[in-house]
Amino acid sequence: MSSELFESCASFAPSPGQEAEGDPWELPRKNPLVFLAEDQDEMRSLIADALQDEGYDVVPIADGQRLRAMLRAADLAVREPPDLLITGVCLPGGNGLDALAELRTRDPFVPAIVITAFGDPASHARARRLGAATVLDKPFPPEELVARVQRLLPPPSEDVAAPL
Amino acid sequence: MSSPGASLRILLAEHELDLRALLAEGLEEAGYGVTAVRDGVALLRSIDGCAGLLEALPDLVVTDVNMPGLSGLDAVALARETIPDVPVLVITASGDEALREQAARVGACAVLAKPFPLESLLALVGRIVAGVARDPSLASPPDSALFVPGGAR
Repeated sequence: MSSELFESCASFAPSPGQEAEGDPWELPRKNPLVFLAEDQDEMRSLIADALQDEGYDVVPIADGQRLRAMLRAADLAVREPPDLLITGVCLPGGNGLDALAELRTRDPFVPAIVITAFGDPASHARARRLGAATVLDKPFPPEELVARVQRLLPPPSEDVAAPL
Repeated sequence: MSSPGASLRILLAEHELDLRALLAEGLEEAGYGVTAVRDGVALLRSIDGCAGLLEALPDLVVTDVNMPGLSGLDAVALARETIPDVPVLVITASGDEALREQAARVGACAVLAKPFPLESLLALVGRIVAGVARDPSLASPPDSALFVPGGAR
């Protein structure tokens, strides 16, 4: 059995793309890093594409539990911390504002943008209390979000594909 | 076969199906109780499902690193809320120094680089659980002596 295991493991190096969707953690990087937590696949892809087109590195995150795990890992220096957090409020597996609140106990300064689905005043108020720089109500055009991000982050390198 | 860990529960997170099955089978044959999951999210869900039922929490977590959606280290970073003292063994195809440092930061007590023979995993698991049995404090912070790049020593 051990020899079979050894042989099966021999080709087990992660294949390209096996890492988390769009996760640039393993790549040489010099552009601002955005954690994007949004549960709607189409919306997440639209926003991620728009930000990546502008040269930002984006980690797409589909649920609140993953968001909390990645933020905790960043706090432990297991992964690079985000320069900006963009999060929805009602995420499967955990509330985005709860994740932001937890983040604030460790990092009071990282900028955050909160996306709300219903324009709920309570969510707006809590997001502001948690230091969100912007609260956006859906629907909004991706370019509006990109404009907000550009106000919060330094511009990405012009040569976004260049290695370090 | 003897059962060195007859009452010990291992939570195994490995993305690759065949390898997961092989490792689970080998650990079960060695006498451990094994819960095998496919990725970091499932690892967290398994631990969350055990929360409040302390007798069902794993005695050891064995996890891959690169898994879709949520890496093993990300998952362990969050799982530490629930299992602060449970030892973690990281199995990885990229066991370089940076990875070992990252594993240490989430409290992993050992790193085993793929590929490895099953015997190496069993030997390392045996050392970890024996150490925990002797001294429970071993499980909390990472023990550099147990970091084993490239296989059990």
